Amino acid sequence: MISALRTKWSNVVLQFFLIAFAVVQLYPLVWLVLTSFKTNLEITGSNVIGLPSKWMFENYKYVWVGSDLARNFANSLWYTAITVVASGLLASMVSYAVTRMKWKLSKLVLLIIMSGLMIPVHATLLPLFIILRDVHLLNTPWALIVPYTVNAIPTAMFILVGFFSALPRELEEASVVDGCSIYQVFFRIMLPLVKPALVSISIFTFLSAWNELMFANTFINKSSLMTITVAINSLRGLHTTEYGPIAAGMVIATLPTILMYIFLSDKVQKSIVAGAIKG
Amino acid sequence: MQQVFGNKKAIAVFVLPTLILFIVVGFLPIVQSVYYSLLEWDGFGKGKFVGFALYQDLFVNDTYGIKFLNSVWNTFYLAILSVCVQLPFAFFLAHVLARGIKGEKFYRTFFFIPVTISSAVIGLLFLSVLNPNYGVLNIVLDQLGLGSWKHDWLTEDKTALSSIFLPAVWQWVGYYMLLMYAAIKGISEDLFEAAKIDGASGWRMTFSIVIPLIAPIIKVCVIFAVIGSLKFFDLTFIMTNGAPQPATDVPSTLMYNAIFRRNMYGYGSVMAVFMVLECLLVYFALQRLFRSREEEVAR
Amino acid sequence: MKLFKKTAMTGLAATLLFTLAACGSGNNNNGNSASVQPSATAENSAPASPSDEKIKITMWSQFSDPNSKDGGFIGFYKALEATKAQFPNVEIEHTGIGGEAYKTKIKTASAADELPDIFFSWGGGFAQPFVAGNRVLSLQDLAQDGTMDNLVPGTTDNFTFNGNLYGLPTNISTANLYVNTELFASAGAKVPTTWEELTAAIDALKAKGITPIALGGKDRWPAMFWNSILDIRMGGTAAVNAALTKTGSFDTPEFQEASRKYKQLFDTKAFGANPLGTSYDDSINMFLTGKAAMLYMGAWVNGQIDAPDSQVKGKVDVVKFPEIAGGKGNADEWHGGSGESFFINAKVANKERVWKVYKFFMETMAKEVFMAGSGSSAWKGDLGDTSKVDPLAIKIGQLSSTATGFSYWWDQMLNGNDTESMFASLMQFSAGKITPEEFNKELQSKINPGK
Repeated sequence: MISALRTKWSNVVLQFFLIAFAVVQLYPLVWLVLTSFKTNLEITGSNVIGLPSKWMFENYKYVWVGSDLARNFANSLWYTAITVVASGLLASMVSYAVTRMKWKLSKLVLLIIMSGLMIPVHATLLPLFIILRDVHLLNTPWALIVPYTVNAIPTAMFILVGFFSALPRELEEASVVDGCSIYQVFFRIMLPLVKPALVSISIFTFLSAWNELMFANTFINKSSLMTITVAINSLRGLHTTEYGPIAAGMVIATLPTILMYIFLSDKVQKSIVAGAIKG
Repeated sequence: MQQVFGNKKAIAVFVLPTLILFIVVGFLPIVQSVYYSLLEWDGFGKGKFVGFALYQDLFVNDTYGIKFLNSVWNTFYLAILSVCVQLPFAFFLAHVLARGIKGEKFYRTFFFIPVTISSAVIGLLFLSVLNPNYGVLNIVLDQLGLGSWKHDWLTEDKTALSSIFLPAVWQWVGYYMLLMYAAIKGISEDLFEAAKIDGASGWRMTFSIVIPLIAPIIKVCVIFAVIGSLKFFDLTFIMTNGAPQPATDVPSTLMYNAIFRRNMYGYGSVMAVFMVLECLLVYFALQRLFRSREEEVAR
Repeated sequence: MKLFKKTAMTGLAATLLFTLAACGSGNNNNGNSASVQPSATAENSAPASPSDEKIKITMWSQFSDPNSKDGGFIGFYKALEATKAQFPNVEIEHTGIGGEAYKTKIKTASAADELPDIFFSWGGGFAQPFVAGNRVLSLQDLAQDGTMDNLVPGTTDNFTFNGNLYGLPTNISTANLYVNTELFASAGAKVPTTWEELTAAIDALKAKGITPIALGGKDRWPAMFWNSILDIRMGGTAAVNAALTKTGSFDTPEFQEASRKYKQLFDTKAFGANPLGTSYDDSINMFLTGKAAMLYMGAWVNGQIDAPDSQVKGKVDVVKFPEIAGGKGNADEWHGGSGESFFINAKVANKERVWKVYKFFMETMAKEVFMAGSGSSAWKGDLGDTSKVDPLAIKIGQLSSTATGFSYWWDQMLNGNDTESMFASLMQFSAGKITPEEFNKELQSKINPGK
C-alpha cells in the first residue's frame, strides 16, 4: 500500500519533470518561429524573447517571392533522400559482413572506414574539391550526394556494428540450417532485426545532409542545383543582415526535419521486433 | 555453416562498393592532408616541402601564439562533460521512455527537437540568451536578486568555455536518447517479467538487465560523444570563434582559421592530421577500456 | 621524405584513374573558362565587341541576395542588369554566395585553380596571395586605354601590386562619425570637433544615462575601426599605411598615445557597459533605437538610419572624426578608401572582350552603389540626378571631397595571418589584459618581425 502510494507520487514528480523538460526542448523551435515574424530591430535586442509587436508575414514573403526557394527545397529533399537510402544500405551490408561473417581483413576494413569518423571535415574540403573536379562531378548533384553518403557511412556503420553484435547467433544459424543463402539471411532475417537502428540512422543521416552548408556552397555553382541551406545563407549581407527572413527560411527548412522525425520515430517503435535482444 | 559465413563472393559484394567509394572520397582526403601538412603552402601558389617543420612549430615554437594544446584540453573538457553529464541524462530519459510511461510518444518527439534544429539556429538562440545587454539569463538573475551573479558570459575568460559547451551538451541529449531508446526497446519483455518474478527492484533491473544488454550501444554512444567533442566545431565557430582567445579555442576552429583565414594550408593540415591521430588513439583506448570491462563482466 | 611524397602522389593518381574509368570521362568544363560558342544567329548588337560571337562569362560574388535593400547589393544587381543589356552577345552567369562561405569558396577554388572568369574580392593583403599565385589577370596594359584617367587618384592603390594593376575600383567607403543630434541636445552636449569636446560629450551623455558610443566589439572589426582612426589622428595616414605595408613601425610614441586614448575610452565606459560582448548587430540596434548617441561606422549604415520605419530618421548627422591636439593627423585624413573590387581570372579566354564588359560593369556599379547611398564613386564624371540619393551619403561625399589621405581597413590591408594576429592582440588589449605599450610592441613584433 505504502509502496504503491510512493510509486504514484514518484510518477507525478517524474511526469512533472518530463513536461518541464519537454517545454525546454520545444523552446528553440518556438523562439525560431517567433523570431521569423519579427523586425530586425526586435531580433537584435529590442524584443528578443517576447511576441512580435507586429507579425511580420513580410519575412516569409521575402524568402519565398522572387527567390527559388521551392526548387532549392526540392533539391535538398532529393539529395538527402538518395543519401539516406544509399548510406543505409551500404553501411548495413558492410557492418553485417564485418560483424557476422568470418574473413581475415574484417578488422582492417572496419578500421579504415572508422577513420572517417576521425577526420575534421573542413580539412577535406580542398582534397574533395580536387577529386570531384577530376572525376567531373563538380557542379552536379553527385558532388553533394557522394560526399554526404560517404560522410554518413562511418557513423551509420558504427551504430549498426553495435546492433548487429548484440543479436543472438542462433537465429542466423537456424536459418542457414533451414537452407537460406547468405543474402537471404541478411535481407530477410538480419536486416529486419536492426530496423530500429536503421531508422535511427536514417534520422541522423537526414539531419546532417539536410543541414550541411560548406560542401553545398563550395561544390555547386549552378543556382538551379543549390540546396536550401545555401539559399538561406545567401540572405546574409556584407555588413548588415536581415535576420527575420533568415529565420523564416530556417522555419521552412526545419519543419520537414521535424515531420520526418515524427514519422520515422514512429517507425522505430513499430519496427521493434519484440525480444530481438535476449540475454 | 562455415561456408555460408565465409563466402568470399558474398563478402566482396557486401564490402567492396563501400570500401572503394570510401577510400576515394573518405580516406584519400586524409592522405592528402598528411601530404599538405609537410608543405609550407598558402593554398594559392606552389607549396614548399618542409618536412615536419610545421609540426615542430605548432607544438614547440608556436610562432603565431596559437596555443594549440590549450585548445586540445578544451575539447577534453567537453568530452568529460558529454560522458559524465550528457550520456547519463540521455540514458535516464531513454530508460524512462522505453520502459513505458504515459505520453511516451509525445516526450520522444519533443525531447528530440533541438537535434533537428540546425546548430546555426541554436547558436543564435544562445547568443541572445547569454547577451550581456539584453540576454534572458542576466535578466532572470537580476529579477531573482542575484545581480552579482551576472556575467558577460561569452567574453569573460572564466565563463566563456562553459557557456558554449553547456548548450552543445544540451542540444545533443536527444540524439543519444534516441540511440539508447531503440536499444532498450529491443530488449525482450520476458527478461523483465522473469526478473520481476524473482523480486528484482527497478534499480536492480536497470543495472543487471538493461545496462549489460545495451552495452554495445552505450559503447557506441561514448565513442561518438568523445570523438564528437574532440572534433567540436559548430557552436564555437558561431558563438565566439575562440574569443576571448585562447579561452574557447578548439582544434577545429583553429584549423579552419589557419586554412581559410590565415592562409596557412600546411599549418592547418598539421592540426587536421593531429586530430585524426588523436581521435584514433582515443578510440583505441576506449575500445580497450570496454574490452577489459567486458572481460570482467564475463568472468 | 621525398619517397613518401611520391608514393602519396602515385596513390592519388592511381585512384583518380580508377574513378575516372568508373565514371566515364564526360569532358565538361564546369563552366569555369569562358568557352567560345559560335552562335548560329550572327547578331550585331554588342557595340564594344570586336566580334559578335556569343561568349559566356562566369562570375562569383558575395552579393547573394537580389532582394536585399543594402546599397551595395542594389548597386551590384542594377549594374549586372545594365551590363547584360549593354552586351546582348555576352551571357553572364552569376553565382552569389553569402557571408563567410564566400571566402571559403574562392580560396578553395583558387587552390584547385578553378576560379570563375570574374570574381568579387577585397584588395590589399587579401588579394596578395591571388596575385602571387598567378591566379588573377594583370590589367596594367588593358587599363591604358584611358580608363586610368577616369578614376579618382589613389583608388587603385589596394589593387596594385609591384606596379601592376589587378582590379578596378568601384566605391570609396569611409568610416564616419554618426551622431544622434536629439540625444546630444537632450544631454546638452556639443557635436565634437576635437578630442576634448568628444570626452566632454561622453561625460555629458553618460550623466544623462545615455550610452555615448555604440561599439560591437564582439565582431572585432568595429573595435579595429576605433583603434585605426585614433592611430590616424595621432600618427597620420602616412605613418599608419607605412606600418601596415611593413615599411614603418607600429611601436611609435604617436601610436602609443593613440592606444592610451583608446584605453581611456574603454576605461571611462564611453562604449557602454559590455562593449566586448556586444555584436555589430547589437551596436547598430543601440544606435538605431536611440540608446547610444554616437557610432563610428561605414556608410553602409545610411540605408538603415534613413529607412522609412527608422526611429532616428532625420535626427542623425554625420561629421568628420574629431582632431586630436598634438597629433600628426588632421581632420581631413580618413579611415577608409577603395578596397573592394572584382578580379579577372588569369586564364580567361577572350581577354579583350571580357575587359570591355568588366570595365562597363565596374563603372556602372560604382555609380549605382553611390545612387543607392552606400559610398562615393571612385570613377570621375557626371553622376546625373542625385536628388534622390540619401542625404547622409551626399554629406559624406562633401566632407571627404577635401580628403588629404586615406588609410584602409586593417583586416584587408594586412594578409590573412597578420590580420588574425592583429585581432588577437587588439582583443587582448581591449579586454585590458595588456597595456597600450605592450599592445603596440606586440603588433610590431607580430606583423613586422625583426624591424
